[in-house]
Amino acid sequence: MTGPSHDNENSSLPDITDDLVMWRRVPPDKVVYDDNQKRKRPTSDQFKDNINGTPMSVWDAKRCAGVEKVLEGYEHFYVASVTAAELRDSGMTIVRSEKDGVGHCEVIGPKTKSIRSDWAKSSQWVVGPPDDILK
Amino acid sequence: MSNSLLTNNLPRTLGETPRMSSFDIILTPDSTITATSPAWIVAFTKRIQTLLDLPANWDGDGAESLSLSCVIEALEFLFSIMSHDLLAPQVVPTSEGGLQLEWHTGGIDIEVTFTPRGRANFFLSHGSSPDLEGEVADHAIFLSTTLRTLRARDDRPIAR
Repeated sequence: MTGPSHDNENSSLPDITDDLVMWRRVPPDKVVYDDNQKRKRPTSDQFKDNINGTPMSVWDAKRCAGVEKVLEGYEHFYVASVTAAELRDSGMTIVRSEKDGVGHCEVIGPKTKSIRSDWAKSSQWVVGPPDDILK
Repeated sequence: MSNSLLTNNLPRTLGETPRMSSFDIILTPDSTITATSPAWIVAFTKRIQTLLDLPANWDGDGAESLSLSCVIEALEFLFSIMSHDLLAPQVVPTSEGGLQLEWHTGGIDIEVTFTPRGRANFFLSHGSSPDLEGEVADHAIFLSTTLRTLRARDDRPIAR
């Protein structure tokens, strides 16, 4: 499923199409080894709203200024990706907020445990952990 | 909670908290008694020591430091359901100051979450079967038996 979206609040910003890759920062302590997938991946707990109530942050991989920008100040963190389509298929609305810089977006909607688990398992590393941790 | 997953080798029992022995006591022919700690408690303790050092905002999104009450609650849970030979959980801190115990093996994903506010709950995912969720207190035997199933399906040696 690929095409334009009407999630954007600010019409002056480009649409978030379903094929867009969205990046999510991952702290090192939120990585698990999944023996079912034979790989490390983020824990499901990394895909939820902030404790202050603001929605989960992601970055538009095309529009932001690279992973270095996403990891600015968090150089020891990792970055995982999911597509806009995966988020929308779970009933989410993706809004460009740009409050944390160009390309910053917020994922709005109820993130059940099943949804978060699905995202964690389907996510791909952009900047991943080294092989020598966890397993 | 749907019971559709409770088939084949998975447990059918739901109910009261079981009491497991968490230490092996070995009596050798020369009458020496040896007590050993299970591998999972060694791994859990080591991990917790690291996580207790996490400062506030360790995730960059305002996370709270790990709550000691959650650690104790998780430890009590493990002592109540884990026998000596079961697989050690992976321990992940949550942004609320809680922690999550995770097992991802044998085609099953189990996550048990302890939060500073609210009751411990679990999540279980098994292939195309419907996901299961519930409160830990109501499903201790189910979780214990499921972890035994995972142990049986996992051919990795127990870490020492």
